[in-house]
Amino acid sequence: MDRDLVEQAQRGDREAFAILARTHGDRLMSIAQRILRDVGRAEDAVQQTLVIAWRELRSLRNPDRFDAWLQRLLVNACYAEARRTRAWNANVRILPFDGPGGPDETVPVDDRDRLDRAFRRLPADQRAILVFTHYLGLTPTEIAERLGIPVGTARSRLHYAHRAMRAAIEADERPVAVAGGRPR
Amino acid sequence: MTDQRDLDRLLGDYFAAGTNALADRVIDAALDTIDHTRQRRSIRAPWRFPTMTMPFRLAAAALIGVLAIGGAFYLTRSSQPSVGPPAPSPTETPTPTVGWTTTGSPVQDRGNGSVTIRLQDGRVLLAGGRTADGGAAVDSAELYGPASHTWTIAGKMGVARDYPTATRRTARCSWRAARSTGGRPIPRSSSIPPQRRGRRPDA
Repeated sequence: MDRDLVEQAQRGDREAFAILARTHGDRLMSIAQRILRDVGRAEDAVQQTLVIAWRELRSLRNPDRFDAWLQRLLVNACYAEARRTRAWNANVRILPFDGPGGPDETVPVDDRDRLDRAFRRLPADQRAILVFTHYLGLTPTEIAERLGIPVGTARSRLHYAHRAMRAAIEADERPVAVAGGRPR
Repeated sequence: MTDQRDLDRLLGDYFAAGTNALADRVIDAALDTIDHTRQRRSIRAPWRFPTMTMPFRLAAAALIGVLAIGGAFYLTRSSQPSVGPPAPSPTETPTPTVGWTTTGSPVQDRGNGSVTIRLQDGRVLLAGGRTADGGAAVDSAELYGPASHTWTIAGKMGVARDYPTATRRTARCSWRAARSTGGRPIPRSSSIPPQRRGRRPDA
């Protein structure tokens, strides 16, 4: 179904593209919000992604890869959004994330705050790798293919992102409490 | 120490929370923008280019570099003269290529209208012309010796000539005047046989 819609949209059918946008919009929003940790900026990134996707749709060779191509555009839009607001982030105290989905009860608040602070300090490309790994469940090879980067680069970014997150967690004097009730 | 499994679980739980729905107003705004946006025509690169392996990429880059450098070298060379200086004729004495040097002054000051010709033995004959103040034509001739860098009187032509022509011969040098002092053509010609050219300045 997607393939037909994509091919119609490539021929300039706006109705077909509207169906595609509504079909993939929620998925794009969930990824963007997790990379940017801000609903407003995530909405901006998704909107920008949809506009770019329409404009560049004819350059998509394989309509079956529309979803992966769209996610690559989204990640690039998130990079741009992160660059645009980097100065803002440097001057604003970051509050723990508490989005419309509600706080996550499975992670203790202290751990979630530490994770959130550490995650926000990461560069956008490492954030994207973490989201694609731990939220979408992709392997470095799949991430590399989806983002158009070498596999080694994907592995390297994932390694440094994990190291930064682990260091942030262990920087706290108290021992980290993992799920399962280890004393803190 | 947080092991990888614990970190994976923490991050999995951390990313599980968050927004999963895109507001309709965002899609509507994007579609409104799209209504005024034209799709770009794409220029597609060859299929195989993005899948080239690193050795092929390096080889292609090296080939392009060699072609670029070779082309630049070829263009640089082709802008220079394609032939060297003309080879000397076997019947002529090769002329040394030296820079300009200051010689001695001629014996008689001359204005315009003289003739200068290089003789076969290397000396230079200067004849005729007008006086330095642009007045009367003169009938004297001088020879320049390249070894001594001096001028010596070679005798008189018999008729004062300005703007004369000179013709180099094997045995003697002759010249014909374009006009006399009064502006009238002179039909006669004069010549100097070798034995009457006077003393050679280099002798």
